[in-house]
Amino acid sequence: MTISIPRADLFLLRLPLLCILVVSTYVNAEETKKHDATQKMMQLTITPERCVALRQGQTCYQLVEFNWQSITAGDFCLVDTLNDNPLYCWNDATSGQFRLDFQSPQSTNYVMRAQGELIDLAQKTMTVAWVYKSSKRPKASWRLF
Amino acid sequence: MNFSLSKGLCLAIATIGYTTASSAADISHSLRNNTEIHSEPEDYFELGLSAQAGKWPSFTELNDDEYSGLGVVVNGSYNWQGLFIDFFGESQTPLVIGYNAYNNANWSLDLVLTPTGNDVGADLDDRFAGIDERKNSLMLGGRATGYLAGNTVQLSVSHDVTNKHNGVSASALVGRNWQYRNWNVHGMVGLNYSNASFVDYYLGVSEQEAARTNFSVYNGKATLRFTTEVGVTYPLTENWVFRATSRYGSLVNQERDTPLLLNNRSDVVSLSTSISYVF
Repeated sequence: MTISIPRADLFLLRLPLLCILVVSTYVNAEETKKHDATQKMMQLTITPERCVALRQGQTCYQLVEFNWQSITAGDFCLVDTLNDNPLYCWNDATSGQFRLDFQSPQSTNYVMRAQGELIDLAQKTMTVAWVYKSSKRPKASWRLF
Repeated sequence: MNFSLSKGLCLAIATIGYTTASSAADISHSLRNNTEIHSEPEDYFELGLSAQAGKWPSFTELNDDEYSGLGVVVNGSYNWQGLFIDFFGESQTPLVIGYNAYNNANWSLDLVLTPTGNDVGADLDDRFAGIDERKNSLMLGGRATGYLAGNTVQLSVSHDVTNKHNGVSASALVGRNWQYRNWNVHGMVGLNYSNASFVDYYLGVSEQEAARTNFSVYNGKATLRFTTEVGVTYPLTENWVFRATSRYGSLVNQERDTPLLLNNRSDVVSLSTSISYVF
C-alpha cells in the first residue's frame, strides 16, 4: 500500500523542523557570541604551559604561575576542572596571581569562573608531556611454549 | 654505543672481568627510565654527547690510568614480536640481542645474545706482537628479570657460542629507582662472575706465547666482581634527556696479575654525564 502526501502537506510537516533548526542556530550563535564576549572580558595565562616527565604515566612536577585579568571587577575563582574545586578565589578584583605546585600524571584544564557560577570565563590547559611512551602488556604470557 | 673521540682508548680499556655479560644494559636502562612493571618495551632511538672520566686497568697505559674524554652516545631499542635489540651506550653492556619468551606478574624471561670482551692483539699495541689475537666473543644465555618489593632483580647466565674460549659468565644484579619531582634517581649493586676459561682467553698467556714474546706465563682464574652504579636522569624537554652516572667495580676474590695489562689495578671507577636527543 502506498500513501501519497500532497506537496503542501509535506511542507507543513517540515516547517516545525525548520523552525527548530533556525532557532537552534540562532541560540548557538548567541551563545558563541556570549562566550566570546566573556572570554574577551577575562584573560587567563599559565606560565609555563607544559610539564615534561621522563615516562608516560609518571607524576609530573612543575611550579606554575597563573595570571588573570578582567575588564570588570568581581568575585572570581580559579578552578581545577578535574575535581571542579576552586584553587583560589578573589573578591571584588580585576586581576590576580596564583602559584601552584602542579603535580599530576595527566594534562589538566583550569578555568576562571564567577563565584558560585558554572560558566567558564577563561580556560587554559596545563599539558603533561613525556619523553618515553609506556604501554601495558598482559600479566602472563608464553611466547615460545 | 659509546664512541670515544679521544685517543681511541675504548679498545684499550680492560673491561674484561668488569662487563656483565648480558644484563647490565637492560636493568640499567629500565631503572633509569623508571619503567613500570607490566609495561611493553618501547622502541626508541637517541643520539647524544657524553663526557667521561675514570680510572680502570689498561692494556696500553702504564702510569696514566686516568681517562677523560668526550664521546658520542647512541642509545636505542627495537622490539618486534618478542625479538629485541637494545643498544645502550651508557652501560657496560652496550649491545644485547634477544627474545622475550615469558612474562608473568613479577618475572620476565629472555634469551639473550651479547658480544663481549676486547680485541687484543698487535693492532692494539706493538707489544702484543707474537701473542694469539683475542677477539670479541658472543655469549648466548638466559636472563630473568624480577620485580620484587619495589626492586628490580636481574639474574643471567651465558655461554660462549663462538668456540673461542667456551667460557661462562653469570651475574646477579639488584636495583631500585626513585622519583624526586622530575628527577629519576637509580641505584644498582651486583656480582658478576666469569669462569677460568673466559678470563684465561683474554688475560692468560700460554707457554707457547711466552716462548715467542716477553710475556711471562699466566693462567687466568675465575673471577668474581662486585659492581655498583648510581645515576640520575632528567627530562629537559620532550626530546632532550640529561643523564649522569657514577660506577664502581672491584674484584672480590683475587688479585689479578696478568702481564698483558700494563696497569693492573683491581678496581674501576668512572663518572659520566650526557645529553641526548630522543627521536
